[in-house]
Amino acid sequence: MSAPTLVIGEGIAGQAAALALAERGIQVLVLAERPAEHSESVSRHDGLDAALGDDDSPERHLEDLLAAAGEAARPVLAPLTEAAPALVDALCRLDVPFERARNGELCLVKLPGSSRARSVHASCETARHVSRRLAARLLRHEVEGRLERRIGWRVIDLVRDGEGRVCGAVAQCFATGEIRGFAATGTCLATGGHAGLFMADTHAPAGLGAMTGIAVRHGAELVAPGSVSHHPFCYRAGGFVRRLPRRIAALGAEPEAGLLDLSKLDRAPLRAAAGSALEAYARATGADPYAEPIAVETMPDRTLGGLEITPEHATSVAGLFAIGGVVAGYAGSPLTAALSTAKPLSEAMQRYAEEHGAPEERALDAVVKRVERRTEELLGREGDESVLEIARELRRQPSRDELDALVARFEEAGLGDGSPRANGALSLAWELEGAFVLARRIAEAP
Amino acid sequence: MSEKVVLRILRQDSPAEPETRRFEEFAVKAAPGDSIASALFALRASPVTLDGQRVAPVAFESACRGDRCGACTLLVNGHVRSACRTSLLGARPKRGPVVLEPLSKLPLVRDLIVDKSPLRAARQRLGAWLEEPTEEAHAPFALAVIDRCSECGACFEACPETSRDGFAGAAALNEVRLLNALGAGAARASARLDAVMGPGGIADCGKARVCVEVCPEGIPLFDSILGLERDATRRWLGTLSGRRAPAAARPGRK
Repeated sequence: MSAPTLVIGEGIAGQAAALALAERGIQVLVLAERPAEHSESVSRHDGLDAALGDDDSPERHLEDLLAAAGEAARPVLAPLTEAAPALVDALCRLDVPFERARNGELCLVKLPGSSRARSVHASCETARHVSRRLAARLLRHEVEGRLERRIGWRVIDLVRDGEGRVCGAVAQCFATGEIRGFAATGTCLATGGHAGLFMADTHAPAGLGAMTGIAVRHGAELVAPGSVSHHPFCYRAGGFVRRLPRRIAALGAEPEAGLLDLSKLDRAPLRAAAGSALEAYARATGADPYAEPIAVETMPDRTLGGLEITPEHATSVAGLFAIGGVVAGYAGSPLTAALSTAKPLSEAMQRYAEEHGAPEERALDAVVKRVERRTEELLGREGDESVLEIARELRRQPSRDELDALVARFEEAGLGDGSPRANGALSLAWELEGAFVLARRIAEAP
Repeated sequence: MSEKVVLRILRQDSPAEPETRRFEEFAVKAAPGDSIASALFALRASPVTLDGQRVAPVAFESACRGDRCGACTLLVNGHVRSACRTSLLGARPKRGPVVLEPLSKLPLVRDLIVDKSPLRAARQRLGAWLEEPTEEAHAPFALAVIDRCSECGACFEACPETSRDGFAGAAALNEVRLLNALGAGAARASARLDAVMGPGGIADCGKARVCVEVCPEGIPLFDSILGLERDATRRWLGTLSGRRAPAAARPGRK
């Protein structure tokens, strides 16, 4: 019996990968902690970048991105800039409501760092609209049996066969605590970046990169894992960090001494570009963002480093592929990066599936047993040390020695909750186990 | 300056253990700007009840923490709300604690967490998916206003008619309305209308209009339902006229 192709994560990158695979007639299994509509990528405001203007070209787009990401990123960025215009066409066919001029032409926005106007947007909700269309396409494949989604499942470990190839994953269901092995012919990580490791003192929504750490433990190579891009329009509300859309910079918004004064800008284009984000700001703070200055900070936003991949999207571990924010080298719009690379990824994974038969399922059982034992041990601990506090300290970019101490404290930490069901502390403990591996690499990087 | 607010939280260890259903009360610090969600995060660190008992941390759902995704929807004092959007101090009733409960119409997982998969199942029942698009079609930007559902579950919870096996609810109907209006969705528009006219479809809407009031995205859900009702009636008349005299076509008659 053959096993499906596995996609881990259901942000936009995971959706795009699953759709591209299903459209090739490949059987797909998606394992994700959260459904796409509650994913980190959908909460972002970015639009898509593509060389669509008469004065623009994929080469020029590539040069702009290389200026931000460095020459080494050329192999991953060149196919992306090449594919981006066709990607926007495909999304237009799916009726993504991009902003258009009266004559029907797409509106192109020039963002800071771009030499040309090449961003298309649907207000500041592009990601949400795109994700909803992909979800509507995926639902059809699900109804027709080509796709199985298991949402609320956290992958605890990857499994490799006797030849060292990834042949599946072991995951735990958050709601019930059930632990299961899933055999797979080819596995794709679409688990996003690890910007959470750089966000101290905040309940940041960004992940800590547990899955990247797990891949590293299995031998995946990293590139510049400590490299982060920053967001100029972050504000704090109720202990949480939130962002305003970057594109308001194109309307002349520029912070001065930590204050962003939008009152001198035209209200109508501002509302069209960022209406829902400014409404959220008003709800959270009670202030009028169109009239009163907004206290903003520049904060870490996305990781530029991550897993190293070949032009075929393969990581350095056989059978393990990657797409989206988990991959190193993507500058520019994360949406473009995730969406324009799904097709070549699916081609490569199809070739892999054709070359390699059904995986050995025996290897899964051993890992399932190990994860079950570890779960039991974690749930049984009664230490006073708190995993929440350890997570907080991990976000402060500890040195190697501090990290060693943190890991030792983690081994003494109690979860304060002995139930395997919907146990947030257990979930955080798994996140930390993977994140420690990644944090060590960051601490050791020159 | 911070004040104390008492949270009274409905808890249950698992769906299989209804005997564990209980209210527990916790005091949390509240500063201006704090939300119900930030209070729940703060409570994780020291889950000690008002009478001094250390208990298991309260299980709750939260994803974006930025008033974007709708994952943290729950009941605040009996009203459906997003936890990260609702001010903690603002939620205090004149007297007594702030009462938090899980959504009541979806299967309970634990404490404040419910299983939202029935919302997707409702869409699936109504055929709310897209086929492979064939040609370029420009969606009118005006449609964007009904194109932003985050499946938070608020309208499903607040509607007096919805149930897991019955009325699919406003969000699923809105989705059908949207897909039918898109160029990419036109091919299956009739099939979706047929599904909408079937069991659990549009006939079960009681026109209470509470869906519009609770939608955090401000989607004009009731307009979508009315529009869909018009289209469904037209479709019904069309099917009838194919078979018998149009005079016999009387919408509303079974």
